[in-house]
Amino acid sequence: MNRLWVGALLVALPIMGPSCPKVPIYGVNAEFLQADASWFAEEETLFIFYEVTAEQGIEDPSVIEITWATDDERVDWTDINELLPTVHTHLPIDCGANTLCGSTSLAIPIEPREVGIRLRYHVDGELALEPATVYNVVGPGEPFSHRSLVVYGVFEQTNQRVQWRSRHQFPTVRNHRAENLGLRRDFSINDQSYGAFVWSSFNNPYGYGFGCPEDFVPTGQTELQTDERAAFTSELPIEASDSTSVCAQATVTDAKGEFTTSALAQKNPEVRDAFPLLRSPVHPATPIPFFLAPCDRIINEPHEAMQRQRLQMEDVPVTCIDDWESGGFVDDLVVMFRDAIEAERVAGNDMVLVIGLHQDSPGLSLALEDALVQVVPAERHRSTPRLAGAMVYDSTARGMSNPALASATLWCPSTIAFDEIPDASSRTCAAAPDVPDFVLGPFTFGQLQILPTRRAYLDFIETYSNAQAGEVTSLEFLTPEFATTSDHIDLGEYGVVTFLNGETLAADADDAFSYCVPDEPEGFVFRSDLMQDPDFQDALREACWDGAVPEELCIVPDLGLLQIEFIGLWHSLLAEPTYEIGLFWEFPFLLRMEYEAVLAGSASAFGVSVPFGFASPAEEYFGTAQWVNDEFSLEPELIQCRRFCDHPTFGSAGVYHVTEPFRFTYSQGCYLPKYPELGDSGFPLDP
Amino acid sequence: MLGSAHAQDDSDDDSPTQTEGEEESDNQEENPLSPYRTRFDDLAERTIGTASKSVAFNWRRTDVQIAASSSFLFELNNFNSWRGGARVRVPTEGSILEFGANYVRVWDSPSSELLALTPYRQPGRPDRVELDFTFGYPLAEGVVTTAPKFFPAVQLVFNAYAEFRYLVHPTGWPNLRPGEVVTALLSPRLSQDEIDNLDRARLDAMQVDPGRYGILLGFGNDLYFEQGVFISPRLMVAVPLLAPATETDLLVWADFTLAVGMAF
Repeated sequence: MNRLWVGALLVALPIMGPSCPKVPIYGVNAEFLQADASWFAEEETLFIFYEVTAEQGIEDPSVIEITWATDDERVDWTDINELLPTVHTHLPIDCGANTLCGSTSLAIPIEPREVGIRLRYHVDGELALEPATVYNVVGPGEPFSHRSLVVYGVFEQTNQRVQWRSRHQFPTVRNHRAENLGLRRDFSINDQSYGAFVWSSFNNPYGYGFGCPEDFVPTGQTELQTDERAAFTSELPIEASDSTSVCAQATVTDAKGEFTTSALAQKNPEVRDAFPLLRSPVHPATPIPFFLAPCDRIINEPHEAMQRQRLQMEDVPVTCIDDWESGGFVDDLVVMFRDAIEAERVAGNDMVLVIGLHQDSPGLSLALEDALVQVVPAERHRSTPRLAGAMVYDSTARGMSNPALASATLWCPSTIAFDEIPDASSRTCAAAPDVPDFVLGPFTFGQLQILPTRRAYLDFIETYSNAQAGEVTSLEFLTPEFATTSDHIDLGEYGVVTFLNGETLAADADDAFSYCVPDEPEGFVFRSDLMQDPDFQDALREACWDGAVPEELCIVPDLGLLQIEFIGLWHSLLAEPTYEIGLFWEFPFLLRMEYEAVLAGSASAFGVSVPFGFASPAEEYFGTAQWVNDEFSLEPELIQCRRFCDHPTFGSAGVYHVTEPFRFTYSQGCYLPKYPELGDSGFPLDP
Repeated sequence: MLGSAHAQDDSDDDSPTQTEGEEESDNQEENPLSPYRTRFDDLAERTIGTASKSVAFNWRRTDVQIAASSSFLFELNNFNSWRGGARVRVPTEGSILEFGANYVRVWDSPSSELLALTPYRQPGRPDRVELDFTFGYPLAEGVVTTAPKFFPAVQLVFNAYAEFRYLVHPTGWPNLRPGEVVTALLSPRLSQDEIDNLDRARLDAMQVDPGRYGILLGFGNDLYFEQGVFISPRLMVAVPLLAPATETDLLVWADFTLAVGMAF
C-alpha cells in the first residue's frame, strides 16, 4: 500500500510541477465612452459629461480629473469632485460596477482655450487614461439656439392646463443623456398670459425667447418653480378656451445669475370623431320559397327530402320543371317569381327568393339562371321593400355561370374558380372536397357538409344513415334596410357603394382629418359636390394622365367617390364644406343557418354495420358577414381636427413632436396621441 | 506423560534417571506451545508501525473530534490571506471525515498596493467564508516519544487528505432574488451579478476570481495525547482538476494548516 502511494506521488509531482505558475496580471482595458465638454458664452459655464468603462471594476480609488486653460488661468488636473461649487445640480449617478459616469458645470467667464478630461486609475497613483476630449464652444446668440436650456409648454388633453418643460440643448449631448448623467436644472414660470398667436419657425420651433405679444391677457396664475424637467400649472381661466397659446416669462439660472425670457405653450389640435357611427338597420328578410322538381318522375326521394329540410320547405308545393326545354319555361318562371314578389311586397319587408332545385338535367340550371337574371339584379338597388337577392340550392356543384347573377344570388353548392375572383357563392358555399372517411379498425367516421350535392349525400347515407346527415334548425336572411333616399353606385363584380340615408359630415376650410386603418375595415367611402361635377371630373382625369395629382385620387372621375382614408388628403387640397358618407358592400344579404352537425360513425362486424353519431349544434353564414351588424363605426378611425390644426402634436409614445403639426403630418396618417397627465413624473419622454 | 506420571507418584522411584540434555530434549518435543514461541523483541517489532492498530490512543474509537484551525494560504498572487475556523472530524471505517467552516481574511501586500496604482489587476479572492469537506486516510501510525521528556508518548497518525473546498461570498448576494442566489450557489463559477457586487468589496488591485470551489490534496500528521487532545498540522495543495468549469485563474496554490482539538 505504501509503495502504491509513493508511486502515485512520483507520478503526480512531475505533472503538477510545471502547473505552478504565478497568478498573472491583467489590464483593466478602460476606455472613455464619452468625454464631452461644452462652453456657453451666454452662460459663462463649462459643462463636462463623461462616461468611462472598464472590463474590471473602476471604483472609488479611480477618479475623474479635469483640466482647462483660459487667458486668465490654467487649472491643472483636478479631481472633478473637488471642483466646487458647481453652477448647477449634478446628481451622483451609478452607471454600473464597471463604469464611472457623471457630469459637472463650472463657472468660467472666459472661453477656455483647451479642456481635458482623464481617468486617474488610482487617486494615489500617477498613471491615467486621457482620451481625446470633444470640446465645443457655443458663442453668443439667440436664447433658443445659444443656451443650454430651453423652456416651452405643452397642454394636456383638455387644453386647460399647461405643463411647462425644460429641455437640455448641448452640441453633443442629447436631452435624456444629459439627464441620465446627473444634470438637473431649475426653472421658474411667471406672468403667464393667453391669446391668439400663431407661431411657426423652423429655427425656433419651441418659440423660446420670441417675446410675448402685448395683447395677451394675464391668467393670474401663481409662480411655478421646479427642479424637474416638467411641471403642471393650475387650470387656465375659462376665457382662455378659444386662445391658441399661453406665453410666460421663464427664468433659468447660470453662472452669471438668472436669465429670464419668454416661453410659449401651444394648445393641442382640438380633435373629435368625424362621424362616429353610421346606422343601417338590418332586418330578417321574408323568404319566397320555390321548390323546382320534376312532377312526372322521381329522381331521388331521400335527396329531395333532404333539400326540402335544408331549405325548411317541407310543405312547399312542387313547381314542375318537366317541360323546362319548352320555349316559354323561362318566361313562366319569371312571371311566377314576379307575381310572388309583388304579392309579398305589400307586407313592407325585404324579400329573398329561396329556390330548391331538384334536377338531373344539366341545362335546367341555365334556364333558371336566365329567369333569375330578369328578376333579381334589377331589384337589388330599390329601396325597401325590395327583393334583396336569391338563394338556390342545387342538386349538383355546378355553380353559377351567369356573372350578372353573382352580385345578388347565392348558388349552393358552388365551385371555386382559381383563375378569377371568387364570388360570394364560391367563397361561402363551395362544395367541400372529397375527404376519405376515417377508418379505425371496424369503425368508420365521417361528416357531411350541411348543403351537400346529391352524390355526396347519397354516398354518405350509404355508409352511415340519413339520421347522421345533419339537420337545419333555422334559416335567416339578413338584409339592410335601404331608405328611399339611398343612392347606389354599382362597382360591377366588386360590389356596390350605397349612400344610405344622406349621412354627411361638415368641415370648415381649415379643418383637417386623420385616418387610422381599423383591424376590420368596414368599407367606408365619401363623395362631395365637386366629385359629381362633370367639368371637374374631366379636369381631374386630365391631371391624372399628366401625373399632376396623387394617383389615389384618380378613381374619382370614373366613380365619383373615394375611399374614406383619403378624405384628409382631399380636404387638404380642396377644402370642401360637406362630404357624404357611404358604405361599400359586396352582397345584399347574409344567410344565417343554424343546424345540427353530426360526426357520423359506423361500426362494422360480421357483415353488419351499425351507424351512430355525435351531434352538436352549429352555425354557418353564407353571403357577406357585413350584415351581422346594423351599426358601422367610424370611431376612432376618422378624426376631424376643428381647431389648432397647425399646432404641434403628441405621438402615441407621448413624445411632443414640435415640428409635426396635425394638418400636414396626419392628412394620410393615424393620429393616436398620448397626452401628458397630472401625476406623471417630472421627466417626460422628450428625446 | 512421563513428567506428569512422575508428579503423581513420588514414591515410585525405581525408573532409571536421564541426563539433563536428554531431559531438555524430551521437554521440547512434548510442549504443545513450542511451535508458537517467539522472541519478545521480534514480537515488539511486528506490533509497532502497523496502521491498523492504535496503542497509546485509540482514535478510531472516538465518536467525534472538534478542533480549531488556523491556516496561511500561499495563492501565488500578491495578496495576503489568513484563514481561521473550526472543524468536526468523524472517524469511520478506519478513515476520517472532516467538515470545516473557516473565515478567510485578505489584505494587501506592498506589491498589491503598488499594483493598485496601475491599470492592471491580479486575480484574487476577497474576504469570504470557506466550507471544507475532507477525507483522511491513514498511511502510517504508531506510538512515538516526544521532547521534552516529561511529555508522554503520543499516538502519531500520518494521513493523506483529499478535500473539497467551497467558497461562500455573502457580500456578492445583495440585490439578488432568492432564486438567483440558489442558482448561483449551484454554479461552479461566480455569476456576473455576484462579481459586480464583489467589485465594491475587493481590494484595489484585485480582480475577483470567479471560481467557487476546488479540490485540494495533501498530507498531515495527527498527534493524539492519551487524554484525547490532538494536534494536526497539514499541508494541502490545490489541484486544477475543476479549473475548466470554475474558470479560476488560481490554478495551483497551497494551504498550511494547524489544528488543535479534542477527541470525544
